[in-house]
Amino acid sequence: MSLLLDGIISGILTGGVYALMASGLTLVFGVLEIINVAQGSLIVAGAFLSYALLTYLHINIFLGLILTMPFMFLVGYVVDRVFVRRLRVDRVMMSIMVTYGVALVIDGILTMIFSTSYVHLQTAALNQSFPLAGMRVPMIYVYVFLMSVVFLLALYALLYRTTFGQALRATAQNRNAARLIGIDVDQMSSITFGICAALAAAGGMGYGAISSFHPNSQFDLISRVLVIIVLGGMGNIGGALVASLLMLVIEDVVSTVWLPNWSTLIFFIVLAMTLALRPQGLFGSKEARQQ
Amino acid sequence: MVLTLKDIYAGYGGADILRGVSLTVEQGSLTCIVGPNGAGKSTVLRTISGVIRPRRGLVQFGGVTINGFSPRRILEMGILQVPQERSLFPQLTVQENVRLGGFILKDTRLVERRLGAVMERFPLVKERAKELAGSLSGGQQKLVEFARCFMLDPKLILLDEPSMGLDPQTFKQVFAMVREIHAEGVTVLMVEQNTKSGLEIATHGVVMEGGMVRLDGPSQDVLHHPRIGQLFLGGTLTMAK
Amino acid sequence: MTRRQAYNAAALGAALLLAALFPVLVPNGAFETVAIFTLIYIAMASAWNILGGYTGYVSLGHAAFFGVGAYAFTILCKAWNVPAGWVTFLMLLAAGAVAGILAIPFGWIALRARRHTFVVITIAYLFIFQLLAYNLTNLTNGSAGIGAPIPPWMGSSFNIPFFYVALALAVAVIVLSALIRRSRFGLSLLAIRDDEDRALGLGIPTGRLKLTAFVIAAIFIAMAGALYAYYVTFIYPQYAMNPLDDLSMALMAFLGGVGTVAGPVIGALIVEPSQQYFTIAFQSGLNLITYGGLFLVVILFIPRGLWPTIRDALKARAERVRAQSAVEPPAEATRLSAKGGSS
Repeated sequence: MSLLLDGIISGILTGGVYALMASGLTLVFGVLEIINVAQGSLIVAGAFLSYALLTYLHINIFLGLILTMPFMFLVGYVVDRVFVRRLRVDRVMMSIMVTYGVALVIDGILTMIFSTSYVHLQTAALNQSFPLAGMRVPMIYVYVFLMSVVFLLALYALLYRTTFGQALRATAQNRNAARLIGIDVDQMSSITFGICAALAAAGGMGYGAISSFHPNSQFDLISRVLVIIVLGGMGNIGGALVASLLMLVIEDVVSTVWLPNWSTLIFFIVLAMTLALRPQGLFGSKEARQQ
Repeated sequence: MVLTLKDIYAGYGGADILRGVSLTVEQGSLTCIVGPNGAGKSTVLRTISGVIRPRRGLVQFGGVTINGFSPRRILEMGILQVPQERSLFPQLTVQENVRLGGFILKDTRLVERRLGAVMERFPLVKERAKELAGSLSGGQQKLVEFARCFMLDPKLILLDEPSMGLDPQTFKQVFAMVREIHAEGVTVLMVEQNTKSGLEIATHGVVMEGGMVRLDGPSQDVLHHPRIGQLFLGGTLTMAK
Repeated sequence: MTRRQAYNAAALGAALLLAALFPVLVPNGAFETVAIFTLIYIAMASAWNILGGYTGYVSLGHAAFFGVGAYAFTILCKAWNVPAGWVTFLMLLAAGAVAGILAIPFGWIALRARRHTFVVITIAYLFIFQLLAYNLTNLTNGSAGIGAPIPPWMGSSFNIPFFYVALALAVAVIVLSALIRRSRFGLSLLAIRDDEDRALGLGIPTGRLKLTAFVIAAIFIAMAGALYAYYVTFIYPQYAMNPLDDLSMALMAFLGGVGTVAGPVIGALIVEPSQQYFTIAFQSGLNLITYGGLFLVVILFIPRGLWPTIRDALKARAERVRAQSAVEPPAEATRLSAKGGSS
């Protein structure tokens, strides 16, 4: 019983980080109508940036976000400006190809700089823990979860409490109409991609603080995050949040209670079963099936 | 503010759809473009509103050459387009949709003042203000799109097939609205599939075919032109040489 | 047979003869190895194209079936005590069959989704199979890897059997791809690519046909995987189920011309040798940057691929020459007399 609780708690805490990574990705899908397969490599790049700041400049990983998030915003902005914006026909398919290419280039750069060995963001908080329901929860999990909540609230406020957010949502709902009322859709898209990358930087830091990583981790990450946004209904941020928590809780419960080796497989089995029943995902609308 | 197109060539990347279109829209007129499918009628409107850029030729409004301007700058000149497809944001409320019509305005007080005026003028907007735009019927959405234009100070409104997909009742409402807008002194350039109804409310008529203007003049003359009958029957208007 | 067809047939025959004579003309082990890999990739990219190119359902997960083929070959050879030699190549068929059967449920689930969700699901498939390869240790020996039968050929003759089997596989897939392209089945696949709803409306059983294309691609990619396993003699999960292979197949098809018969072949002929060269010439990391960069250039600047671009340019030139004599002046607009302007 306590193992089950253990799994649920760690699932919720790590689920927050995935929610952060997935919300950016699903936002990009909503606004740009593209799938950013480079998100995995952006997350890993964010983790390595935090790692570099921590190791070479001894900057606290949370404080370091002040540097890494704007930097990654810029990276995302440029990727859209240079590569994605050019795509005019068959945007979804072509964007997958293009961002896969970008992912490889980022992967290559990280491999050259950091080699391919696993690293971990070592912090003092890592070794602290506190008792909860008969087990010890590492403090870093709580810090990372709180950080995720803060950024998700900020994202919510940006989208639903500002004119910019309203224009962003309008763009996501009808690109052509947005253009006709004077919204600079291209600019909006680049900013959205930048936000997605900045969230990847924060998510990457969180990921790096609770697990070890290397450049190739991007493949594992992108497949998980994509599974989450497909489950949540592509473009649906709320759906992505619920799917993140759900998936990570399931995975961690399976891992602690049952079979550690097979927990990741559960992730994909849930996806397959869901899609067999509801091709549009858990929270996707039928309307979105139109190509 | 006269709108003139001079020898426009434009298309969507591939072959040109417009092949040398020249056209004048007089201030205060209600000009209606008719013609068979694929004639390039909508492309003319998209070229004017800056959604596509002409490969050759000039678009001038009030003496200013506007082709190459961003859609935003064209809006700032007072040229608004109501496209053929639905152009509301279905998940935003009617009020939010209308307010976004003033997106390019910096002055938030002006936006609120205009919003109030639009609400007064269009009872539909006031009644359904808090409902999601996607829940409105097609005709109601079209009316909200018109209402949204008045968040700016329109000088020229481009209407792309406003009657498309509407039942006869709503069709009448929408056309009444077009007349009303025109009566207020706004210049209207309209594309209409329904040749007869379009030309009947218009002051000027333009017949397009194959990416070129084949006929233009006062709408009554166009309407009674000997060869126009073929258009009513959905045929083409190939000019014998 | 028209002159043009005769010319094409002669060109194809000459290309095939040249390919068949390659080991005689270039008796060099290293070059032969590159040639074998290139042929394997020609088969893979052409098989991938039957799904990704003809139906427009771009799969970034079919490398999983490459791995399935490699593992099925290795495991079945061990289980059935298949001796190493020419007869072992028959096991390619068994590997293809295993993958074909597995592809049916996986394809069915993925193809229920719309096109871009399909891509996401196929990416997930690769990781499902990679994870299985790591975790089903009884079958696959996990991350320690597993050995295939050791081929009996030695020294300079080692590559020869592999070269000809790879050539045969590549030719078989190309011929199949060409036959499909010309068949009713192929036409239906193209209809699905252009407008799936309309195809369905025309009575085309889109679901069944898409699944058939999915399974055909899986079978031949698995056979390529089996050949790979026999050739390299030892397989690991991360190399047998490699996300880069997914990218390679897509890149080859897109570079050459996705949806054409010749495109994937041309793409593989360019990409695979250069890929081998990058791996040797550049340090790890830089090869990825070069590869990714090349990929980006192709997608952004020649999105239709080399083959259609060149073919159309030639066609356009021929037409320009023909059309030069007949130029029509545009018709004049009729201006009605404006009686006092507005009414």
